[in-house]
Parts: sequence; C-alpha cells; structure tokens
Amino acid sequence: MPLPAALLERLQKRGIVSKEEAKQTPTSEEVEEVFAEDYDDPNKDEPVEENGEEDKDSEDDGSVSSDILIHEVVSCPNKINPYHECVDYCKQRWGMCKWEPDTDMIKRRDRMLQKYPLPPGWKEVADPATNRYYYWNTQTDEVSWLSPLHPSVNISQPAEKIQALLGTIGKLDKLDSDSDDSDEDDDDRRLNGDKSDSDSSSTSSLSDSEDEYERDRRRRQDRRGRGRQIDKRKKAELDPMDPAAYSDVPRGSWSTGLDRRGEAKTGVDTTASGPLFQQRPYPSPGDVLRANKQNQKN
Amino acid sequence: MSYMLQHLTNGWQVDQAIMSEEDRVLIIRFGHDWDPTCMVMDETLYKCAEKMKNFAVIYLVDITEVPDFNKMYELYDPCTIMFFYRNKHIMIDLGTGNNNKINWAMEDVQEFIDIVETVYRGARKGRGLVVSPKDYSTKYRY
Repeated sequence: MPLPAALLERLQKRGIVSKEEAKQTPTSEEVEEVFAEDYDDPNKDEPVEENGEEDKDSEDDGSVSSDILIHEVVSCPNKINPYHECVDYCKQRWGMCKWEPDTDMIKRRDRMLQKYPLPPGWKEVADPATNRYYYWNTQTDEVSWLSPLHPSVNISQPAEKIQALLGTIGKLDKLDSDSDDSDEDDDDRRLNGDKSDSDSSSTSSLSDSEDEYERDRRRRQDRRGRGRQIDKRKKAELDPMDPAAYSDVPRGSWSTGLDRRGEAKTGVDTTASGPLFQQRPYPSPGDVLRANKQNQKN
Repeated sequence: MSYMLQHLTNGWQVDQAIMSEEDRVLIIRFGHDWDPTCMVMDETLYKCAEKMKNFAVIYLVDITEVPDFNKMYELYDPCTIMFFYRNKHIMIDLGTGNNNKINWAMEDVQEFIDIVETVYRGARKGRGLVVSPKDYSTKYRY
C-alpha cells in the first residue's frame, strides 16, 4: 500500500525513505488528479463547490483512510475577485491548486490532533488554497479549522454554502460592513474571507494556541474593512451643530469661517499683541482704500 | 491754527498726497479741528511746519469726514500723528508700546522736530522702524 503523500514527504525529510522509493510510490499530484477526475462527475455546475464532491470523495475513500482528502480549488488568479465566478475555462487554463503541506504546519497539526483527536464522523480535509487542513463533519456537513474538540474551535457551515445563501455580492458587502453582529455571523465571515483570499494566506501557523492564528485572521479582516471603517468613524464624528451636518456645505477645516478681513497683508493684524503688536506697520492709505473697496464688494 | 495747515477731505486725497510726495516725510494728523487735544497739537504742527518744510509736509485729516482709515489704523484717540515716507508707513519706537503713531498732543516744538528728523533719516535709509530720540514711556514721567 502506498504511503500518503504527506507522510512520505516527512519520512523523506528524516531520511527514512529514500528518493528512489519515493519515486516509485505514487506522488501526491497523482492522487490529486484522481480527485480532479472525480470532480467532473458530480452534477455540480459550480467548480468551486466542495460539498457534494467531498461527499463523493468520502464515499470513495471510506476504506482507504490513510489517503488525504483534498478540497479542490481552482488556482485561478481571479478567484479573490468577488465579482469573478470561476468557470470551466478557469479550471482548464489554470488547473487546480497544488497541495504542498508545510512540515511546520504538519508538525503542529500532529501535535493538535494528539491532544484533541477527531471524534467519529469528522474527516480531515486538505485545503490547497491555504495549505492547511480543515475538519469536516460528514454527517452535518459542518467545517472547522481546528479539531472540533479544541477549546477555541469555531465550527461553522462551509463557505460555499454561506455564499450560496447570501447569493449576491451586494449582500456580501453589506455583511462585511456590519461591524459587530452575532458571533456566528463573524465566524461565517471569517470563513468566507478565508476562502476568498486564500492565495494570500500563506499562514501555516496551526499551533496549539490557535489564538495567534485567530489574531492574524482578524488583522487581515481588519485590513480589508479599514477604509470603510474610517469613513464610518468620520461620519460618526460629525458634530450635529456643524453646518455640514444639516446642509450641503462641505466640511470645513478649523480656519473656515474665521473673519478674513484685516489680514496681515492688506490690513492690520488685529490679533497681534505684545512685542508683535509693536512690530506691525500699517498698510499705506492706498492699500487701505483698496481693501475697503474689496470688503464692500464681498 | 488748524486753518493754516492743509486739510485732506477724502481718502483719495490722502492717497494722492502720499503718492505724490517723493522725498519728504508725510505727517498726517488724524482727529478733529475742534478737539482740544488736536488744537494743542495743531499749534505745535503749525509752529514747526515752516522749519521742516524741506524734509516734511503736514496734512490734517478729519476722521469724521474721512472715516476710511478709522478701522485699519485703529483711530480711536482724539489726536493721532502718523508718518509716511514714499507710500510706506514708518513706525517710531517711542517707548509707549505703540510704535505706529503718536496719540497724544506734543507741546514742545523742538521735540517734535527731532522726532520728524529721526523719521526722515531712518526712512531715507529704508528703515520701517526708527527709535525716537526721547523715550516717552510712563516710567520717566513719574
């Protein structure tokens, strides 16, 4: 029986399995290709859809538990774009994301699984987009990034389902702009964000203290929504007594509305005092007359 | 003696008087002819007008008749003397804190001539601020 790709790689790194042996055994790419072939069969028309396909996978691989389940993700460069919907051509042109597990991530995952082993009904699925494993409940079809027994686990619906529920992008945006809703909602959003900007997330910090990962996630989320937040804050700070609040005048700076007449250049600096008061020459009578005329005009 | 000195009756005349004077200091007294303070000052001005005709010329401006400068020049004293040279206001450090004008009536003719001469010499050198030969701050009065 061939070794799973991840295990093989790890053994290679330790020098337990030689390169020749490794070549004889089927590589992870081949495993992926099997999945890719499988992938076309399901009646799903959306290529990124994972659930049905995974169901199928789990049925297929139910016996071969050592093989990794891989969540197929098209490696389309446009997939971060929320206005882009990957079509078959994307798959043809760009292929699927390669599953390249990081040894560090594997180590951490192993440590976590030792501490919090997966309960029955849960499967480990590799996500090539993030190069991380996530955990999938075959019965309820829920997913989580951590082992479901982990104290800080967030079990939620898969991102695709949420996206299908939300449907349009406009709704998604609205969800994004909502600052603090229920915890569930927040979690969903996080998952959404993860799946959408997956290629940027090279975080493989699957540590015991997942807080670090969580924080990183939050930070990224913040970065995405920052512009909007600033706008909101600006709006919130607008004084109701500010003319900008109740009319069409633009918001002014601190000097807007000050009396501009009698400026130092044309007239006397009436604000001068002390030594400055003694250093201010008056304008010439011609300048005074001109300034007066200007003031009358205004 | 205000009737012996030339009056300027509107802002334009004031402007022209200053513009037309090339190499003489222009002394303008802002106030009212009927004001007692101004009467004292006008007396002094009349007495020294002849003596400094080569380097200074004196005009009187009624601030009620010509209110154009009241705001800009802060003319709220009964009598105000200001100096101009080549369309430029010349400040004098009198020690009073207000370098822009003489806002009291001077009785001593020679004192006033000295001040005007200092202004003339300083202004000729391009100075905008000259120091009065005598300190008029209150600390020397008491």
